[in-house]
Amino acid sequence: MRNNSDYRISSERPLRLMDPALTVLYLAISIIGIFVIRSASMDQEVVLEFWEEPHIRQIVWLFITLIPAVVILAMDGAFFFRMAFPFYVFSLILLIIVMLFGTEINGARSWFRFGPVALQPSEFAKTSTSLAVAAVCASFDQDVPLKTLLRNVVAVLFLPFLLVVLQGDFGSALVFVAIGLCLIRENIPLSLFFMGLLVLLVSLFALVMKAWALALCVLGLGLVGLLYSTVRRVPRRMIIISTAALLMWSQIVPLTYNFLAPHQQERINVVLGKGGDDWNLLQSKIAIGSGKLTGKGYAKGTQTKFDFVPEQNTDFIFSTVGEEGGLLGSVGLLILFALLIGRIVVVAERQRSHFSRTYGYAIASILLFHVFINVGMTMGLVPVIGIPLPLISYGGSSFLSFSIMIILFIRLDMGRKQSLALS
Amino acid sequence: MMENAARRRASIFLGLVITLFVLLASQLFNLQVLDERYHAAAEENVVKQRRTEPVRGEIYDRHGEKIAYNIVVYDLEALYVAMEEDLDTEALAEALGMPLAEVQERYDTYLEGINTGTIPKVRKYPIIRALDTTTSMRLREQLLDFPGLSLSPSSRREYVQYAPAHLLGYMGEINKNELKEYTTKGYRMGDYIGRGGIESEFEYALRGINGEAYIIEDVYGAERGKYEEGANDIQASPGNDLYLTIDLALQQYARSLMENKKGAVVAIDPRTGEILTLVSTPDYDLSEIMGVNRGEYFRSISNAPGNPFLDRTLAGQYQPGSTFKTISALIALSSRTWSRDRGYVCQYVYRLSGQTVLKCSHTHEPSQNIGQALMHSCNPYFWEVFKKCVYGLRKESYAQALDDWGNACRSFGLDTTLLDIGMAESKGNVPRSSYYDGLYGQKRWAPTAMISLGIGQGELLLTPLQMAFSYSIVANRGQKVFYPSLIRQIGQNHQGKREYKDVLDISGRDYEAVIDGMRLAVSSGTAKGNSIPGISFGGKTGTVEKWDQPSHSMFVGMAPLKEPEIVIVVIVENGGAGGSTAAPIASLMAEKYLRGSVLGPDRKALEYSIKTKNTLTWDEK
Repeated sequence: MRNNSDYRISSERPLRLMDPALTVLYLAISIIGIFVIRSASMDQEVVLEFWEEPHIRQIVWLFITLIPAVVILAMDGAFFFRMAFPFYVFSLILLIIVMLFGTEINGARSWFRFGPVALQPSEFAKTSTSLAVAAVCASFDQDVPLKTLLRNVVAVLFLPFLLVVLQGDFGSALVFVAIGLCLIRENIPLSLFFMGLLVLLVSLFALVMKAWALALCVLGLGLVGLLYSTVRRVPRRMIIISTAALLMWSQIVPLTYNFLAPHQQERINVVLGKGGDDWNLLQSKIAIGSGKLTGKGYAKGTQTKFDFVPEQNTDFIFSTVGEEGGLLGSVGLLILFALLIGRIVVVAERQRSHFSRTYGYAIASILLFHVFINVGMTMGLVPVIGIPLPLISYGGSSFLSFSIMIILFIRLDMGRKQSLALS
Repeated sequence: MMENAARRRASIFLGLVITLFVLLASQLFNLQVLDERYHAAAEENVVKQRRTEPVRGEIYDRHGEKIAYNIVVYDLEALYVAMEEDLDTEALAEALGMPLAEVQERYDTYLEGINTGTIPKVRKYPIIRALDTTTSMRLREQLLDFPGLSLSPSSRREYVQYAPAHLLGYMGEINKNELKEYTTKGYRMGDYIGRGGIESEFEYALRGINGEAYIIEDVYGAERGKYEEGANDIQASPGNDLYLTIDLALQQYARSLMENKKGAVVAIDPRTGEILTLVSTPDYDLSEIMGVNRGEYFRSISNAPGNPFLDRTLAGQYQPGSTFKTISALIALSSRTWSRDRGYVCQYVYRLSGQTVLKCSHTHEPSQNIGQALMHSCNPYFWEVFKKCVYGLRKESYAQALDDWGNACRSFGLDTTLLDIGMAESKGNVPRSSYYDGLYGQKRWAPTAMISLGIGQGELLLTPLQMAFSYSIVANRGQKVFYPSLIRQIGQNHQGKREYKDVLDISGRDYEAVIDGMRLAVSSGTAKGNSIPGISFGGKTGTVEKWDQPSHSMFVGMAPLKEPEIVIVVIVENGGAGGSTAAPIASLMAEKYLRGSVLGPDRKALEYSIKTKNTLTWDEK
């Protein structure tokens, strides 16, 4: 890592070094996306110009992606390590500019509009933040104090999170929190993740339980922790502090819930089973449910074709997959995503460079979060959070940024053999 | 050690990935395989059953001439989401040629429906129905000024000129009360149903059977194609055409003669009982009553003098006056209390028990026989006939005698309805002894009290149809009489005739004597001047005096007298003497029917004078 040449591609035919599984999975999902977009956008009523057809535009974006792909592949791998922070800072600046001069779409001022093309800086910030997090992790040795590492990572994630929240795009902001999942692979105590899980559970229960009841539960949990500490060597101070923190958190969450916009509260209530299904969500569930085992066949879905499902070629595109592909088709697509994420993890594991490995985990976390939240929300498993299904949802900004994110990892992997000195 | 820790952490991450994907897959399995609620819901969302309208049956006359048929009209439809904030109702009313208040009312009703959610915002909804071609073409040019409004073709009833309005009835939008009864039969709000007359009586036969179409609808309720290429659709079956017994040409001719007159005309073919003409005036214009300004027109007709909605032919009840003398004579002859050659010297006055003095309205030669009495329409002769008849029939009591006389009247089809279809028909009245018992007390009255019944006055009431039927018995000389009928054919089914069997036992010679009296009345009696050259025409006049208004002019005629093919009843209220207005109309109609047209300058002059004659009272003009 201290030697820049470690990342260089030495082969005469560098493309041969691209990981074939990753490349094929990336292309396969992208091409499936184009077909799904075509089906989800079909509407005999609306006659569009050839170039205005969403799937044609998506194909154009696929070709546009070739430009950054070639640039990235031609670049020196170390370049991205060196430029991780400049990129990060640059994307933060863009996030600020977009708040001031951007175009507001769907209540979020997070878009730059250039004629027919709209770009969303927060999409690209995901990649640059991943690079930054990887760079932070890579620059610490094992003996570096854990606190410093955590503090720096949290700071790197918090800035874009805050800016995107301020733009009014809470869903995208959560992605930056999700990048934190990559820390699982870092050398930090697993108890922290256990705590994280506890925080998540407490937050969830805080919304369905009475505050005092939850407080009692948390206190009980703390008691169990203290008893446990008599058996295993766990610092009691930690347990007491964590219990106190959880107790506070359990009381804060219901309060913050009250500050949420009504539609956000409603989305949460839907998932918690309070109140009936939201109509849009019901239509999405009907679309998926009516696909049954084998689906209605390509371009034969009525729910999506006749506008019953909202945002059917962007955020809710999975309902088209479910309706037309049935259980077989949608599980098939999920398997492709699982393979993609799994492959990224496997490839990350073979990296000699800490930076490359952490970057791999970071983008695996992003993809996992996107797929789980997006697919989950179309089925009412998680609240409706407007984030796209990677590589499938219609939209140039999203497609381009996910492509760059993955191609960049493929490029880093191509230089893995030269990075023996690291690790 | 280090490697193991790394492997463990990698597996934790991969475990998380697998957990979340398994979670997603199990929810998919739940929705797509386990939970059956969603399976059919998508189809229910998009496949909608729509009703297809059958073509209403048309109505024809006896010769297959169209009387009522369907024309293309246009419904003005509104699509709320495409409309502007406020519809310029003033401009729309002007474009439509409708009063502003009515357009405003319809628009307000529409908005109310939108606000209460009964009318979908995204679907076109008719706000004004059945615009005629001229109006819709004018509106079409200005339609751009009214965004969200469009015209959609539909069909409406249209009728030929002088169509028998009361007989046919008209079409009106179904109302809430009717809807309760009709929903089970496939009707719904906004449908048109027959109102009154044939349109109502044969509603189900005419309407046809609704079809079903399965269409695909998008989330906005807009049609997006047929479901399974229409494989499950059921075609609507058109309604049955109806063939009436009416002779349209005669009907129209009679109506033209009745212009500016109030009254009724009934023509019947005595050989079959088929009704050829039913004219009741004042009437109303069927096209207007279903046109754009139907509301206004309906109100004006409801308030018009002379009650235009009353069907005088079937529901009007008249004292038959002297036209009843024929029947009165036949009853007396049948009872053998009088003979056809019996004379009676009219002394101008007629004394009854020295108390009442009645006068003959005519000055004439003494009547040698019953025929001459009919020719002169001599009142004292027929008082005498009635008196002799009732006294002669007297058995236990006057009451019995009067009831026997009444029953003889009933055998001529009086005091009952005659049609076997549900038309607004009155039964008229032949008084019973019980009526006079109530009036004067039992056994405290003598037939002298109702002597005027003998000349068709007093409590006796007949409908014009009953008059025509009683005279067709006479015309047939009591042989092979059929009930009056209006329907020849429904769809492919020919309608049978009902033979009338309750004819009184009257000898052929007595019939001939009475018919000869009718011949004389036209050739040289009360209806003089109405004979038809080359056609033997006869009839009996009636002049029913009204104390404060001109008399009702009545005439019942038949031709040719040897074997009559037509019996015609004409009543012109306030038309003066029977021979002056009613008889010429019957005479002209008989010639028109038997010959096809009215021939000769004298007859043409008569036709012209009748057509231009106005007998309406001052408040009706």
